[in-house]
Amino acid sequence: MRDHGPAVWQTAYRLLANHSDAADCFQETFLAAFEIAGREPVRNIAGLLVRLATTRAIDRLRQRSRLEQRQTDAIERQPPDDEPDPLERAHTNELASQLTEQISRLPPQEARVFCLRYLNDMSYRQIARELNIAVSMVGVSLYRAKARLRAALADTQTQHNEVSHANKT
Amino acid sequence: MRTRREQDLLAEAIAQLRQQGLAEPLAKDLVDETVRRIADCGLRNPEPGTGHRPIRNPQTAIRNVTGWHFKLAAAAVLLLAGYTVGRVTSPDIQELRDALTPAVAASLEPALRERLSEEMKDHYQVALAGTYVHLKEELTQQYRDDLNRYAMQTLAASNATTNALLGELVQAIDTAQAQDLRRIALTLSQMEAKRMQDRTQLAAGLVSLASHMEDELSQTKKVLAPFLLDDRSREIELLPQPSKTSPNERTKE
Repeated sequence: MRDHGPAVWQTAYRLLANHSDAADCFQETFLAAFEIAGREPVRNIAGLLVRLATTRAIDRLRQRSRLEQRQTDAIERQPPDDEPDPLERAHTNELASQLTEQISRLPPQEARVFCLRYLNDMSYRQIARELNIAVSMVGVSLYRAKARLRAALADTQTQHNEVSHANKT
Repeated sequence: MRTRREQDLLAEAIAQLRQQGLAEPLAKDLVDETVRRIADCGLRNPEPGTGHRPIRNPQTAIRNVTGWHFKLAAAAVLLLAGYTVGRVTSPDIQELRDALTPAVAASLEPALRERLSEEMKDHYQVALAGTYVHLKEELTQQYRDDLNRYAMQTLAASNATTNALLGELVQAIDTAQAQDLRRIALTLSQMEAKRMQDRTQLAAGLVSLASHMEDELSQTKKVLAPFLLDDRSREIELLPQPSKTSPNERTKE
């Protein structure tokens, strides 16, 4: 845990951006890894932990997104106490927040492939081995994920610009 | 143009997201809590049918999965398993597990014990280093306090000794001056008495001398008186008779 804990924590916190959610994800990841290590031999413990952390973080992100979706759009979401200042967050992590939100809307496999590739710097071969899919499938999933994310980010940015322009006028 | 901007947006978003994970460091409490939960889970739910032995230190177990300890233990387990399978005629899983459990425990125990010993050693070394630094600071502070207190006490004692010696010196000087004054006064009184005595003796001597001289003079006068009378009469006889000259003429003669 001393060797791989920081990597797991960064993986969880990057996607969730929330201390309590990241802590839950961190614990779940190591519990799951411990169970897997008890059942079968593990060749690459670092890859297993990163894969589990990514999967659980994406699942938690999707749950959070669905919960927010259910709430009324008129009610603004109240940020948790341990989140940073909203203004600061808006300035520094606006694009990151949009990206995590769009990742939560991707199909699960595409989201996992995207996160493992671009947030954890894993190779196509490592991703294929961890997710138990073909290397070509990794490429296809990654291409689709990037295309969806580009389009979604561009739409979000356009809407944001329109709202800003309307507020100014 | 739009695609280019979309690519930039996505790259920037990924960069921000990667940076976001570095903002919050991993808390030690979370690691301890996770270790505790894994330990509880391992003790509470041993894997049935797999022969998995619950490990009290899951951190060590996960770390050792790919280590040489695990390879060594796996080799020992394989040898013992082959031996046991050859010996055991019945393919009962329960019997196989019962036979393997002591061997697995015996093979894993030295490695776990060694690992635990190393971790305890590291822990004690860190604690010892902290204690040493703390003790050193305390001793240094105590040494400084003692030194300051000793310096103040020494200075105070030195001042008292100096004052006492100065008092003794002043007293000695006063005593010596008083003695000198007494001696000077005594000497002056003796000189005055001597002077008075000398004066009295001188006066007495002068009176005695005067009376003696007077006696001598009167004695001499008495002795010389007859001679004077005899010589006078002889001169008178030898002298010519006075002429009838005037006094002026006698003067010329």
